[in-house]
Amino acid sequence: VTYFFWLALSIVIEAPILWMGLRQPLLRTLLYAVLINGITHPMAWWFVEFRGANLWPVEVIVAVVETVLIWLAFKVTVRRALVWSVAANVTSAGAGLLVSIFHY
Amino acid sequence: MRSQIFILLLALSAVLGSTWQTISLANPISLIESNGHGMVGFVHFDNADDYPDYALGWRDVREKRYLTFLPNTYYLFARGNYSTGGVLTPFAVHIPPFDSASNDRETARQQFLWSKPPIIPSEFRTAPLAVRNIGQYCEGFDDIVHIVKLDSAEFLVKPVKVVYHTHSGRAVELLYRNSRRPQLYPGFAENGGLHLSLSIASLLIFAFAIQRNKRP
Repeated sequence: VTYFFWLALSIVIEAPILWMGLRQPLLRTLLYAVLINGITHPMAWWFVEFRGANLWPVEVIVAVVETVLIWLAFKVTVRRALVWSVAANVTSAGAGLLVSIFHY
Repeated sequence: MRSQIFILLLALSAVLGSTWQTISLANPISLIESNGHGMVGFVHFDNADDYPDYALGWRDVREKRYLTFLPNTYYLFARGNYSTGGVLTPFAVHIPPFDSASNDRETARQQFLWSKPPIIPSEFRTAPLAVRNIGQYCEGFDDIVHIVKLDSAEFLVKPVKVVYHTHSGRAVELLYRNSRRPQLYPGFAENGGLHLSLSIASLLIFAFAIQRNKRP
């Protein structure tokens, strides 16, 4: 399993959540989900996997950064961006943990 | 428009720069074959003290492209999986303090799992026999099954095969070789260069998408 599997998994999980939550056009949501994950996921992965950082503080930072990016991309309220950013990240982090537990 | 081009060039140079650093720092020695899975730990020494200068962490041996080798590095071949080492704390896993007076296995095992930095006796770094002794010492634990120092010079001549036994007794063979030229991908793991590149590239496209979105 390469890194790109985990990146793809994160996108596949987060994009539908953002689409359902933010109610924006599908293609646009998908594009921004890819870009937003492309920004945050590689660095988060690097800190956690290769620098030994604790997952949850990193996830909090990721959620905050993604809140800003969602707010910029979809022009929704900050509160709405925060809610769906947290929902998407908690889900994808949880799914990632489950997959890694079952996989290894 | 000019400022956008400037930002584009700046971001592009950052991406290229970090990628280049990744290429130049990548170690040419990599795992090419394995017939099993487990974990490989890395502890690197280059000073005279008894502490590892850095631990490169753990890799699943199945993730071939993540494995690169450095000179003066001890490799701890271990049975196990992320659940024994902790999926969240790959870097907290080090070799235990070499304290023969400590007979408390569980305590020592916990030290093994959580100690940082571990204390490594000088002889471990210098004498082959001591390395073997460490290997035997660690066999009492659940996780480490074999420790070996691999000299990078060996790889220049021929591929090096490392065999270790899993807890169930099955032999796992790992074959390493010198890849002869720097590879792009191994540095991905050690330096984070491509991670950074990917993030910057995504940020760049994101910024342009936002900018484009603003236009009437």
